[in-house]
Amino acid sequence: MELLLILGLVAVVILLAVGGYYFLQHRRSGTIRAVVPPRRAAVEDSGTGDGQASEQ
Amino acid sequence: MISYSQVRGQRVLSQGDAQLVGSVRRLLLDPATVAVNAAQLEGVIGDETILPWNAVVAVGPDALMVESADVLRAPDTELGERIERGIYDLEGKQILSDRGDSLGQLEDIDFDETSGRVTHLRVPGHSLPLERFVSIGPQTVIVPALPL
Amino acid sequence: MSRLARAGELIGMPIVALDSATTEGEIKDVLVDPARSRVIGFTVRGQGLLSSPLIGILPSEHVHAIGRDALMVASQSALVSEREGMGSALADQQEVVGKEIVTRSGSSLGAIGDVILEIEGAVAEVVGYEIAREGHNLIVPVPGGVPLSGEALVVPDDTEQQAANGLSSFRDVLERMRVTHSGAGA
Repeated sequence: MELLLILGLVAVVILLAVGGYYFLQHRRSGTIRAVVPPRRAAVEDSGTGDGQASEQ
Repeated sequence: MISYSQVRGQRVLSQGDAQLVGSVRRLLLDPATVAVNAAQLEGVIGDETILPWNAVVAVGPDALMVESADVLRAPDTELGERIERGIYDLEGKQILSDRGDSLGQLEDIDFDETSGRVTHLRVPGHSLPLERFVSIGPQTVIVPALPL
Repeated sequence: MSRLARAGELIGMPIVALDSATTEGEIKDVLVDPARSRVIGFTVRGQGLLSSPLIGILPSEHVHAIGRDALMVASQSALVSEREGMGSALADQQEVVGKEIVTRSGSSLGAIGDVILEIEGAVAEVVGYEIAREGHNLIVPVPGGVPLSGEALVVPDDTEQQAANGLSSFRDVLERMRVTHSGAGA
């Protein structure tokens, strides 16, 4: 009975480890993306940062 | 011309009284002057573990000779930190050109025994002539790329 | 002196700072401007499985050189935060890998497996696509450029005839195409 419990626990740990590994790999994975480059501000920031549109 | 591998581990003896001063643990290279400017010794009693290269009187096949143990100095904080960070552990570092191409793993360094000036970096199969360093980091040595 | 490389091989390459000889991150995504068929930057991830999946953006203007083993930048400040970089632009993006290539007369050549770049110094231009086929891969030239939207990339009917099966033979294809074009006009 206890053996079954231990085996079950080991199985869960292994599943979590494998799942965790693949999750971490996936979120790091990169690809090639076609993106529209950001528009440069028409007026150069004078450094004070005011007068800009508020962030959405 | 001598090499890092020849010098590492060598005994340092004082000419005056034939005492064992210590043995070479690592060489301290200055990227700005492209030269070995000191050796860090081990087996020394006390804090004075730095041997300025210009105090080395002779490099023989069996020992490095200095006039006396008085030439040794203690490392300053900055130097101590750089040693800790592994900047001077050059063996095995990847040599990268400033164009991003690997030139191999550093195996050895050839330098002039009098001036300490580094002339070549050795990687498996090749000897790379060295004019200057771009920078040296904990795992990488960057050198200028060869002209196209 | 340019060289050809697969964009997919840039993924995972270390980004090394020239001033400190330290690795500041790894290339995660390769970002291409579809209008100019040019690499405009990279997203950067940390090194190691447990590191941050996104530490910033590296715009092309901050790249010193794209090498075979590392991408060189002047210093750590070459990396910008996602907001300063292309944060909003990334929302308007398309994954290039997996996009189908279809000829004008309606036959599918397959799906894009990788993008072929011509790299010179710090500049990387899109010059072809690699299509996975059973047994071997096909590399086709793309004078038309990179798709941003749409179901598929539409290419001229003779594209498959221009294809190569490796980078070195593809280089010959490109050179032939350029000679032809430069012969046709100034």
